[in-house]
Amino acid sequence: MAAAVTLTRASPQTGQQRSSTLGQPLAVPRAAPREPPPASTDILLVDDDEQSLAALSAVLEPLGQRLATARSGEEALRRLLREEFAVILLDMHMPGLDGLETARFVSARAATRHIPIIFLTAHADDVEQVFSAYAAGAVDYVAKPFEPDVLRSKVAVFVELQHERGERVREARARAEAETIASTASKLQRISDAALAHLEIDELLREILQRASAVFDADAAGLLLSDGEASRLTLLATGGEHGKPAEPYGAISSEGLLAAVVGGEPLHVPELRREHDLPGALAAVGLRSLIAAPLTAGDQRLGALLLGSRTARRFSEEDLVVLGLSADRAAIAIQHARSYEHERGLVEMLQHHLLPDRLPQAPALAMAARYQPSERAAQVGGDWYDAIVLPGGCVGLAIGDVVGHGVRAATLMGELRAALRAYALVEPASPGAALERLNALVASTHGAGMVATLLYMVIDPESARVRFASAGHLPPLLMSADGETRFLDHRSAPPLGAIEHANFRAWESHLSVGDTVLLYTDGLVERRGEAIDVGLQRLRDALSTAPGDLERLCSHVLARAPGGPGVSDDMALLAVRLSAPAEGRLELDFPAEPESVSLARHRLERWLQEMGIGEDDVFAIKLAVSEACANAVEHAYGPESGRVFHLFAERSGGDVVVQVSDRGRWRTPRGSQRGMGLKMIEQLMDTVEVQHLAAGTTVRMSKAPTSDERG
Amino acid sequence: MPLAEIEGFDDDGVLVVTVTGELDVSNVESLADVAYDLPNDALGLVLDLCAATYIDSATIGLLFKLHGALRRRGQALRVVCGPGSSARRVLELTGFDQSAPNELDRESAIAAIRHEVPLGG
Repeated sequence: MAAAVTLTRASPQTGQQRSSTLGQPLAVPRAAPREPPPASTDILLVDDDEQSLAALSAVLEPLGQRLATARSGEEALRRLLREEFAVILLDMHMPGLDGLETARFVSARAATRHIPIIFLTAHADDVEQVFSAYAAGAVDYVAKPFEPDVLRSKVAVFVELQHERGERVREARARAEAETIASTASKLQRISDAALAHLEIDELLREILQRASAVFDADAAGLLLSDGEASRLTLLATGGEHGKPAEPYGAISSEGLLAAVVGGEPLHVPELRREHDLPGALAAVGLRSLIAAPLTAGDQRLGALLLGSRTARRFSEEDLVVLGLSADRAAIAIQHARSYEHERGLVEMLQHHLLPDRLPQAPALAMAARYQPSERAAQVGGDWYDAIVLPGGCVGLAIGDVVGHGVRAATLMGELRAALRAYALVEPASPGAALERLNALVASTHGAGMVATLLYMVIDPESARVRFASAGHLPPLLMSADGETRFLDHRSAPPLGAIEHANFRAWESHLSVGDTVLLYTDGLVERRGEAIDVGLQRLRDALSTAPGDLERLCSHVLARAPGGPGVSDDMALLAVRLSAPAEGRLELDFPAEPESVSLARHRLERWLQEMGIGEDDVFAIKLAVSEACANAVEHAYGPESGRVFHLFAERSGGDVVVQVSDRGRWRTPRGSQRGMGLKMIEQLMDTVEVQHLAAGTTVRMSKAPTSDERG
Repeated sequence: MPLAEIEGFDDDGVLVVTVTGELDVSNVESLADVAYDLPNDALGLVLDLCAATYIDSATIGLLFKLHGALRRRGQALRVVCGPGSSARRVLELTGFDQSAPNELDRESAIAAIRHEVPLGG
């Protein structure tokens, strides 16, 4: 025999099959061609100002999406009647229909309700304006003059989400087509049924392989997934008693025999020989014959589905047809699972981005927190925590749970967090009033039914007083220094959004040095089919046996949370402990506002006096540090989470070392007087270093006291 | 409690503004508001910082601006602070004491303005 390899190729021009060498054409019907995905998604830019439109277009051009413009709210609504858009950038201030009114129309129409709106506002600090925007249906806002990078990345996220939504609609359509073909082949039904749609990718691959090898009575089944240059083979070899479990073999060369299959050509090799140069994993199974079909979904080539036999087996024509159809359906399922995992990744990223990247530092308070996403892909998102530096040395702590999961829950969580941060500063002394404002916002934005629980607590380390209000959240758990635990006394108000005008009373407790307060979400206590009291008692037991160190305490409590199959929630945990003020060093965060400069100065002055520094040096150091703080306040105009500056002071050797850091960008001093602060610092201190990094600016100063009163 | 009390009174054509407490970037604007309210027919402005326990570069920035603005309007400015006081140390540190006239007490400051702008306005 000249060759034992039968290769069938689909000729792109005619759609006819032709076969080489053996002259036995094999018709391998394929699913009908699907609509190609649109090349790009439209972004609608709405602004009455030509220059602003031109600037927006220039910034967003690199995204490679089609940009459409409208010069008024009316024009935007007309375009929305005729065209589909992935995201709308909407100017707040326009003559005629303004941005808010336009947004209300967009979110009132069923056909356009799903389109995310990003508002362009004139003033970042106009809180009221931003809240009106959320109320009108906005998902985000960008303040003018906008940062090109920030704007572009925000728009990119929404384009991505919208694109995924489109993909899922197309996949559903593709699957429906495959369904009709499937009804002609009963075997096919056994390989790929609806159950596959809900599996995560690894389980999905194993399931496809098990079913395929059973249906074809093959000795081995394999899925080769090609991801750009690298390919990964997952192989299930049967034979023996129960067969071997499927195992990923990792990267294999996509050269050779299988490359053609990945490229779109079915393959049938009745008798394998050495020169076929089979991947090692396949050779190890001892295969003698092989069939393979390409995995293609739409125009994407994902890899190959292959079956092998340890005997020289000539697979039937029907086998090849069914394998081809199976491969099509498997490809769709795989692509679906991949895009699902991608979405999960996106939600996790969003969630991660929305949680504080570091807890603030406050005198006499130690804090630690954990967020643990659910292990089940569909359950990510919803739990959150935050810690907010308040004027006057207080710290606001929040923990909450947004009902629901996925992108929507993560987005609402982001809204709540941003709004609470704003209200916390407006109502620094009254957690109840902050929750009342937040509740009114949720009720008006999301209407009845959108429910989130939230506990908000303000701790004043100076007076050791805590005040908190709860919107349907689980009670704070307190542990005293001797290990006694109790839940803090309070009555909870309804969850946010449940009632439009709810009354949120603040409850008060006093802490002693060494007391630990634990805030947590329901994932830490709830187990299906179990009374809540049992879960709460388990939490008390976990806390009372936890190690002293707060980080380890959090890990200990998390490890004792309900686990196992009945549990699918994510979990958040925030622990705070009142400690005696640390000696010898001062470390504090302040809101980046002009009012904080004097707070920082007074706190530093007290610390310097406690350190026994003489009056003249106290004056010089506090003047220099106060100037550095004023600079930090001026620089910190970045994202909200960065609007804090950090003060650190210590005795190092004989020197007083002080560091002031902000997370804004350095601004070169302007005008004749603008550099004066820095010049003063240089005159007052022995050494000054200014470090400008992308993450922020740090001014590090030191001075050897000349008049140490300790002698 | 506010960081500083700022009070002004008219002493026969001279506006005397006293600051008690601390001046910094958060409240220097309220001093600017009072100072720039100086009537056109006033002889000048005495800024009494004897009871100011703290001033910063934002304050000095305002003093330089006031000094220029009043000179252009034909009015005089005198900053007053006692020897060795916090305010004086900052005036010295920034060189304001070398660039603009200042006095050690309020009476000399008022007299100096009357001497400098004898006819008023």
